[in-house]
This record gives sequence, structure tokens and C-alpha cells, in this order.
Amino acid sequence: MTDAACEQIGDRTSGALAGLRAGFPVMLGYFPVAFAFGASAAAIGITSGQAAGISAVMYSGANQAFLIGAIATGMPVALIVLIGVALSLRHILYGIVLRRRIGGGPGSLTFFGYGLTDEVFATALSRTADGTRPSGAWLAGLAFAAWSSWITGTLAGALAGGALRAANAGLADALEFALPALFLGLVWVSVSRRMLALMLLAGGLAASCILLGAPQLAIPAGALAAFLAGRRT
Amino acid sequence: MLWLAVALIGVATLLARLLPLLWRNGAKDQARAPAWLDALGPCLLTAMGVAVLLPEGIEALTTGQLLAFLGGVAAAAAAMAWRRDPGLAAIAGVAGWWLASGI
Repeated sequence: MTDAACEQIGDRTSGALAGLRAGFPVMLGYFPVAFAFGASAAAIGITSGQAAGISAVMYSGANQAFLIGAIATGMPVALIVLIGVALSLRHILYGIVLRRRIGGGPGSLTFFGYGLTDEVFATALSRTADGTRPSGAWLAGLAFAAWSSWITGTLAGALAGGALRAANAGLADALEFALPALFLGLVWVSVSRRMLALMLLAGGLAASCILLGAPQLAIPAGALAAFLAGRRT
Repeated sequence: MLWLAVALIGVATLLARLLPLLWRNGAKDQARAPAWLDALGPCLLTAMGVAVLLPEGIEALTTGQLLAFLGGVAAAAAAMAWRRDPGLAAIAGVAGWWLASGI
């Protein structure tokens, strides 16, 4: 193997490890959420293997929580699919925003795309805030960190959800605050004087949707603020 | 039928995530991004932050855990002011919530 090839492998390995490290807060936040999904799935008769399968195929907290609720209430399958697909459409925006700002070849981008959840998007985007262009290995490491936590959390929840949560309710509550705290940090990093007014407007629109009882519209409504960019001078 | 629903939603989610990421548009990709696309990321991020934090705050208020919530927010904000590291903020937020819930 040539020195250049060794160096390339070394770069990829260190990039992937840095991505894994960047994904640690997402892992911390995902585990209890996936745990809760696994426990809920077990409570309506879904086996641990099936729950992990659903997590692997859908890999979407919003869709999986909706699925469990829909099964429990006997919703028709066609309606479940229609709503589930509608819930997924927001992800289109993430790729549009990121593709100009990140590196990586088709292989690493395909894996990263599979793992492009809300939190992974936010972490990758905040990485680009100072002009850094994350490599494919970094993106794959980040996506793998989040995905592995989601699958192991689902399995743990399905196998031992009720008992563990009852024994450590306080710790479970505290761990569930990891994602809100992570988002506080990610938004903080992205604030700039140039974007502040639009970000405040986006936050106001999202808050209005939540307070008016339509939380599913909060993210698309916030995105609308971006279309005012460039109209003010 | 359940697995058909899981598969269809899973494929739709995968395509929504993947296709815009892989779709390259040559010269247009090299051109300067329009202003709305520059702003879309921060706006999405802010909306997500509100969508995660606000319901958590409302739930804390209604379940008597407001002090724990404020402790978590204060610890995360302090970590950001100190090191500007979102990962550290997540850990500090959990610790802040845990400590404040015991007061």
C-alpha cells in the first residue's frame, strides 16, 4: 500500500471518529426516546425484533410515534401511509440546504442520507456555520452514532422498558432533556447578526403553530421565514 | 398490511432524505446560493429548536417540573457561553435538569 493510500485511510478513520464524537450528544438524546418507542411497541404486542425492524426501516421518531398511536386506535392502513408520507416531506428541505455545504462521495452520502434525521441535520448544519465543509467520513460517523443509539434504545425499551423506567424515572426524565439542550446549543451556534431577525420570525411562527395546537406545522412554518431573505435591505 | 405501511413510509422517508442530497446540478451548484437558501438552514434550525423546547417547557409547567426545566436551560446556556460547544450543552443540560429536579 502506498503512503498516499495509507494517509487517505488515516484521514477517513480520523474523520469518522470525529463524526462519531460530534454525534455523541445525539446518541445521548436518542436513547431514551427510542427506549420509549420500544417500550410502547412492546405494550401493544410488537416483539423486540419487530420493533427494531420498524426503527431500522422507518428511522423517524415522529413517524414511529404516530405509527404506534395509529395501530392502537385502529386507523386504516391507507390513512397511516398517507399521513406518514406527509410527515416525511420536511426532510426534502434538509438535503437542499446541506448539499452545497458538505463533501463526500455517493457511498457516504447515501448512508448519511438514510440517517438524515432532524438532529443529524442540525448537527451537520451547525458544523458548517464557520465555513467548514464536513467530509463524507465525518458525515457517516455522525449518522452511524445516531442510528446505533436509535436501534439499541429501541431494543432495550422493547426488552426491558417498563421495569427500567420504573426503577430510574428521575434519570429517564433528565436524559429526555438532552435533545432540547442540544437544540439550544445548535441554535446558539447558528445565530448571527445578519440572520437574527429571520431566525426570530421563524421561531415566532413555529411557536404560534405549537400554541395554536398544530405542532406538526411548526417546522414548515418556520421555514417560510427564509423566503423573506433578501427582501430587506 | 402493517409491514406494507412501514415499508412504504420508510421508502418515502428515505427518498425525501436522499434524493435532494444526491441531486447535483452542475453549474448551478457552483453559483452563489440565493439569499433564501442561505437563510433556510438557520430558519429551520430555529423552528426545530422551538418545536423541541417549547412543548418541553409547557409540559414542565403543567407537571410541576418547571424548576428542573429552567435548571436544564440555564446549565445548557452557561455551557454555550463558556465553550460554545453544543455537545457540552447537551450534557450540561441533562446534569442541570437532574440537579434542579432534586431541589
